[in-house]
Amino acid sequence: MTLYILFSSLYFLVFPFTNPGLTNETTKVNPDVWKNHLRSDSFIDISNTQFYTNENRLERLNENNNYILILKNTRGCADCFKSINNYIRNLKSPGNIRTALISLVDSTSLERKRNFYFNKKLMPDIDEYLFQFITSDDQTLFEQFKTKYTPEIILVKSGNIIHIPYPEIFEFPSLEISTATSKKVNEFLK
Amino acid sequence: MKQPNKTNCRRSLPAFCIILLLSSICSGQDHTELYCIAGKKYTTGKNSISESFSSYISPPVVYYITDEDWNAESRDLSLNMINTESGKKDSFILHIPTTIIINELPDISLNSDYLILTDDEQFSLYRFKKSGKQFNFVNEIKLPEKCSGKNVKYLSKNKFLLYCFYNFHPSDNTYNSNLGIYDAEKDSIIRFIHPEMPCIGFSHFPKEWLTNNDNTIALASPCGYKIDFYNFNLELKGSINPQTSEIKNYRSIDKISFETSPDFIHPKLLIEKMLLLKDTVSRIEKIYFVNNSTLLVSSTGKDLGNDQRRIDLWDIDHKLKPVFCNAKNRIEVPVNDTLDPEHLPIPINSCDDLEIKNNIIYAFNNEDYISDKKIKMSDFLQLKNQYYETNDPIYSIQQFILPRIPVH
Repeated sequence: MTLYILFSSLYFLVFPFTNPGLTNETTKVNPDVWKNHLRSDSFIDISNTQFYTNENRLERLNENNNYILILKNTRGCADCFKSINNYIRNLKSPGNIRTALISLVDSTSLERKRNFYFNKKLMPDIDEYLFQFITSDDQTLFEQFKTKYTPEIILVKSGNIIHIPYPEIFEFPSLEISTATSKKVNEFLK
Repeated sequence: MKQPNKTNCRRSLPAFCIILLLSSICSGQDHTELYCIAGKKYTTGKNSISESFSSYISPPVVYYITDEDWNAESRDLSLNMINTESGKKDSFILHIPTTIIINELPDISLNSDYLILTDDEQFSLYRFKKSGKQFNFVNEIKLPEKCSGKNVKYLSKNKFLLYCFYNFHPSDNTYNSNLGIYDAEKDSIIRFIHPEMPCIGFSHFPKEWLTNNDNTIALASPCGYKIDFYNFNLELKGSINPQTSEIKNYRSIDKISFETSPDFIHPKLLIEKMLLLKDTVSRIEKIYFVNNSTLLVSSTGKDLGNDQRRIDLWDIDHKLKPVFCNAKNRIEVPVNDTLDPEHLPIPINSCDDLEIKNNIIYAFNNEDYISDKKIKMSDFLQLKNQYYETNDPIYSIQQFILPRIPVH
């Protein structure tokens, strides 16, 4: 708990920066044609990945829906999430696209409830607030995608996946959504 | 085979017992846990799911503000009070002028006549004067140039201590070390000093480097083992700067292998580096006056991890060596151990706000689930988890009693 508060306060307080240590996987992708997005992340199957709701109910992604997933761990910056929330609010998306904030938290009821309260304030325009647990026996999305810093975005469409890591999302040093990210999301929405 | 001489055995037994007793006393100084006893508990009745609160503990009185107490439309802020001696509860109203920005709950400090409010945006200080059940805004407090007094504590006779020790961004020209005295009645800064604070980068981690009793202010250095004592005019009265071999060694491992001055390293990069170093460097993390003569010093150390600290108790009139020392004192109950309300670790890491006076610890917590019977820690955590599945957490205040350690 103490460590969580420490890490969250540190990373939520300071200005975000690009981490050169992170791999830049999505640059290999041709962002123009969704069909051609069969790339390194495509082999990652998240159809059976389990999530928990605020009521601690197990859930999987609905295979009939497409998703914009936003990953959040304790190493993130609050303003980055706010920027993505504003971007999502202004998206004109088809009805079958759901947005979900996936938080990696301690598995205690109190930690989950506190995160839920905080997340709703941080990103009020998100459809679903889901959780994965740090101590989970199953592999989390954060492990699957080797996530260090957040936010990160995962676009899920017809079983295909595009992973946009933290360094690519913004036009650093500004927190405007980058042109490359916008392109990918726009293709995804078509 | 020669039989042992029973008479000789009997003769040597008392001497053996004395040696055993002496050795246990010696080793006892290193291994005795400093524990405390769970005391009275008070619930505020206010939901703490947001963890957003502001509290000011002036033993035996605890003041606090929660999210529910700020009305952004009327700009009225309710200040709650619990007297833990009499059990009396009360509340006061502060009307906040629009010139004061309130995004997060402000910090407060007060005596019976004045209240100093610190806004969370600019860290500006504002003076309020009490009138009946209200505190009325009087003026903004003007600080000397480049000084910060983000943290405020009441000292005596309308004098407040203003302090801030923080590794400010290089582009910010505020002093990293600030200690000032403000007279609320005269609205004047009496003195402002900037004590040398090496390794100020550790200010990004949990810390309590300043404490005061009825007549003395103690200030710990962020690294090394040094504590300076000031009177209420900020005149240096003395220091704890032990030269014992043990603490000398302790001090020598405090050298940080990289630059920590904000003039040379960006704070963000410093935090990254320091996170790796956090639990491997011996340094004073927190200090508290336990009573008017005893100072508790809690330091982190190599391989101590999050659940242990070196705990020293100093008689401030005998600064050569501590009257109590445990190099590996538990400050958290391990999951496999038993949680015993009569032998609790000192809650210096688990409480959200904490003050000690006359050997009583006053703690403001954002959780209300507390065990009052002996229970295995793992069972306690399980029960707590079940409890919070169906209940929301409530802010609470708890007392803990520290045993009196004999002072020579």
